[in-house]
Amino acid sequence: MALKTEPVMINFGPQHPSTHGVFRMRVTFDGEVIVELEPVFGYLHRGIEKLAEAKTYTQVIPYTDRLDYLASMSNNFAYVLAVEKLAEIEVPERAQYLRVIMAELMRIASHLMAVGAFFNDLGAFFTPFMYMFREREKILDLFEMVCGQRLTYNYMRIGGVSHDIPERFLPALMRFIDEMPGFIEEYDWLLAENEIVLARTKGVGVLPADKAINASISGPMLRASGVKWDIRRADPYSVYDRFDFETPVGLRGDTYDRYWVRIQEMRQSTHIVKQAMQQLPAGEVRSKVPATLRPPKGEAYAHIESPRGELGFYLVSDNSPRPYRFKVRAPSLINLTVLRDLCLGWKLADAIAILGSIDIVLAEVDR
Amino acid sequence: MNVLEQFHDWLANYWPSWAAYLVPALVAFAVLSTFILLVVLVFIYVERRGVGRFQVRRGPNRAGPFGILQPVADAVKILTKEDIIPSAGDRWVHLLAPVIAFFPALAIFAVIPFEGRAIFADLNVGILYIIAISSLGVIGTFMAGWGSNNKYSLVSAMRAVAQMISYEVPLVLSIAGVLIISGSLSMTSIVEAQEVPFFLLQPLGFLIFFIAAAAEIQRSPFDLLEAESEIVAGYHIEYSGMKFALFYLAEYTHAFAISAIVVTLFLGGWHGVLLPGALWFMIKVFLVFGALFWVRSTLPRLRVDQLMGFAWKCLFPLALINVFITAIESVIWPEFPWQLLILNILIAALLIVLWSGFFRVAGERVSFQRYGRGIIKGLTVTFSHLFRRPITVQYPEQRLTPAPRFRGNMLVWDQDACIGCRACARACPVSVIDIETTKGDKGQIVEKLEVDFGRCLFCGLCVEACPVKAMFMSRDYEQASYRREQLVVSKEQFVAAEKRRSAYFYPDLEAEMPLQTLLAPPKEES
Repeated sequence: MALKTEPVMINFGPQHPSTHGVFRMRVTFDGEVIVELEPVFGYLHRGIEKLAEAKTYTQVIPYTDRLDYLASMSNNFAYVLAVEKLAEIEVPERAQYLRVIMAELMRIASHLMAVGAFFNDLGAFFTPFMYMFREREKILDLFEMVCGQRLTYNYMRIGGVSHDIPERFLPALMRFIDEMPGFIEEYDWLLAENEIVLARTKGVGVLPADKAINASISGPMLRASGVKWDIRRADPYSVYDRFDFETPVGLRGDTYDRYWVRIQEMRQSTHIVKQAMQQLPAGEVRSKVPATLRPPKGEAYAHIESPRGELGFYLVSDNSPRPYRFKVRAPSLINLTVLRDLCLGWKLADAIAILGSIDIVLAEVDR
Repeated sequence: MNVLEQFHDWLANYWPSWAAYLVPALVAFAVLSTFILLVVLVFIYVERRGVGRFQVRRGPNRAGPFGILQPVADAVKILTKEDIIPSAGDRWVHLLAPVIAFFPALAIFAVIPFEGRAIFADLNVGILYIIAISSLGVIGTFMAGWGSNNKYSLVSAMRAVAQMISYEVPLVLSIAGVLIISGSLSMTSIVEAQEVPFFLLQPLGFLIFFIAAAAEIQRSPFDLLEAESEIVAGYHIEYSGMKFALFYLAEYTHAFAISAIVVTLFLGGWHGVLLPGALWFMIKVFLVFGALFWVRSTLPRLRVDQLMGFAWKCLFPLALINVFITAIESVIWPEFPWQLLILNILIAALLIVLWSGFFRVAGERVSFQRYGRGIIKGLTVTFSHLFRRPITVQYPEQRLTPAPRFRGNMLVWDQDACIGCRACARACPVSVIDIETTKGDKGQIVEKLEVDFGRCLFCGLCVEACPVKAMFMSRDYEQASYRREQLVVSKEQFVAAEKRRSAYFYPDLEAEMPLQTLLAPPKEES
C-alpha cells in the first residue's frame, strides 16, 4: 500500500538552541530527510560597516570587537593591520610578538568554543562544552590580565598594542601552555574515538575540495576538505614566518574532519605561542602614531587567518581622520554559503551537526 | 505471603470481603505512590548534582542544605506556572496525554519486589505484566506530540513510536534468557533464583537489556524524543505547568522503574549481606540510575536511522542468539552452575567483537578495535572528573578578584586633575560622554559631566585620551538597575562615588592592587 506523504516545512530559528545566535533555516523535510533548506540571516545586522565610516580609525577598534565576538583579538589584529598598511606604520617587534600570542590564544579559545558547541549540537549533554569552557576561561583570565576585559578586548592599537603585558602574565601563560596539550589529549579520549561521534560525523556533510575553493571557503573548513591553505603560511603577516608549525588538513571534508582539524590547530597554536614566548624581544609595544591619524589617500586590504577563516578588512582613505569605506570580509558568512549544499539529502539531526561544524558567529555573519 | 495479603486476611475477619479487599489496596497504593514520588524527587536531585560533578560544576546547592530542596523548589515553580493549551491543538488529546504517559510508569511498581514480602501484587506473570504496561507509555507521548499541533512535537512523536516499538523487541528477548534460567515469570521467584546475580550468568542479556531500557526511557544517547539541539523539547514543547510536571515525573518514574527492573532481573534484587534487603534494593537502584546519568553526561545522541539500525541490526540478532545459547545451556546444564559465568562472559565478548565488525561507519567497516572502546574511553574521562574539584564559584559569597587592569562598569573621575579639555568626549566611539565647561580662572571648569553607562562600551579610549590622568576605569563589576536612566551617571555622582581605580593604561598603579584570581595561576603561586 502506498501511503500519501507530503513534505513538511519546519522553521529552525531565529530562536533555536542550535542556531548559535539568531540564524534561521527554513527546512523542508520529507520524513526526516532534508529536501530543501533556505538560510535566512540578517537578524543581527547593526550596520557596523556604515557606522565605522563615522568614526576615527582608533574608534573603530572597539567596533571590530563586536564582529566576531568569540575572536575579538583576531578582529582587532586584522583591522589594525589594514590601517597600518594604509598609513604605512611600522610596528615594534615586541608588539608583533604580543599580537601573535594573543591571536593564537584567541584561536584556541575560539576553537574550544566551536568544538564544545558542536558536540552540544550532536546531543552531548553539555559535558564536552563544560570541559572546553574550563580551558577557555583560563585564556579569558589571561586576556583580562593583559587588557582588562574578557570578551571585547580592544587590545590592539594602530602601531602596536595598548599595553605591555604585566609581570605575572608570562608565568601564567607558561603554565597554561604546559597544561593545554594534556587537556587536548583528554578531549580526544572523550570524543575522538567515540563510536557514536564517528557514526554521527564521518561522511556527513562532505564538502569536496573543488567545491570549497569555488565557494571561497576558508579556514578550518577549507583545510578539512584537504586544501592546504593557511594565510599564516600562504601570505605571512606580522611575524608568522618566524615560527615553525604545521597546517593540519583533513582527508574527506566531512563533519568529523572539520572537528579534527580544529583540535589539531589548537595543538599547533599552543606550539606557536610557546615559540613566541621564547623569542619575545624586549622593547616598546607601541610606535608613535599621531592622535588623529590621517592616512594618505588610497586603499588597503589586510587579511589574517582568524579562527574561522580568512578575515579581511578593506579600507579606503580620503585623507580624512575617518575611513571613507570600511568593508569586512567575514569568513563566517562566506563559509555559511555552502550550508544548503552540505545539508541536502541528510537528516534533520545532521543539518544541526553540519551547521555546528561550520562554526558561525552570527555577529560576524550579519555585522 | 506478602504484607498486603496479610493485611487483607486480617481485615477480612472483621469487614465484608469487598472492603477488606479494597482498603488495603488503596492504602498500599497511597503508600507506594508517595514513596515512588519521594524517590523520584531524590532521583532528580541526585542526577542534577551528579551530572554537575561529571561536568566539574557544583550542581544545585542553594535551596536547603546541599540544595536538597531544589526538586521541591522546581516543583513549586512548575506548579505555579500558567497552564497553556495551544489554541490550534486538540484540547482533549493534549490534556490527557500527560496522564496516560505517567500512569503506566507508576503501574510498573505493582509487581516490583522491594523486598521478599514488600510487593504490591506478586503476580505469577509479573514480567509479562511489566512488558505489557510499559509499552503503554508511548501512547501518551504520541498523543502529546499529535495534540500539541506543533511540528517539532510531531517529529518527536513519530520518533517515539518508531523507537519504542523497535526497542521493545530486544528488551523482551533479552529477558527471555533470565526466564529460562529462573524458570518463572514471577518477579519474586526470579530474585530468589539468583544465587549468582544474573548479570554474571547473562552478561550479554544484561547489556542488551540495559541499552534497550535506556532507549525505552529515552535516556541519552537515545533521547531523540526531546533532543534539545534538534527538536528543542520534542513532544512536551507545548506543555507547561502541571502537565509538564507530569511528563517530567513520568520520565523519572520510568527511570526509577527501569532501574528497579534491572536490579530485580539481573542484580539479585534485595539480596545482599548485612544490610536489610529493601535497603540493598534501593542502593542497587541508585547505582543503576547513576550508571544511566553517567552515560548521559558522556555520550552524544544517535541519529534516528542509526538508532533504528542499532535496534534491528545489532541488539535484536544478538538477543536472539543469546536466547538460543541460553536454551542450549539449559539443556546441557539444567542447574546453571556458577562456573557457567566464565563461559558466558567469553561468549558475550566474542559476540560483541564479531558483531561490531558488521557495522559500517561512512561506508567503511568499523575496525576491530572499536567494539565500544571509544565509548568506554569517554566514560573513563567523565568518571575521572567526578573526583576533581568543581571549578564554579559560589558567587555572592565567594568573589573573584578582577585583574588590576580590569575595565569595570564606571569611570573614576578626578575632579581636581581635570582641565575640561573634552579629550575623553572626543575619543569616545559611542559619544556617551556629555561634558560642558565654562571658562574659569585657571583653565576650564567642568559644569556638567554625564556618562550613559547603558551605552558605554568600556573600551577605555577615554582613559587613554586623557592628557592629565583625570580619568580612570573602575574595578567594580557589580552594577544593576531596573531603569535605564539610573545608568546615566552625573557629575555629582562621579564626585561622590568610591574611587576604585583600575590600573588600566596606568600600569604603575598595579603594584598596590590585589592579585587577580586565576583558574590556572602561575606555578610559583599555586
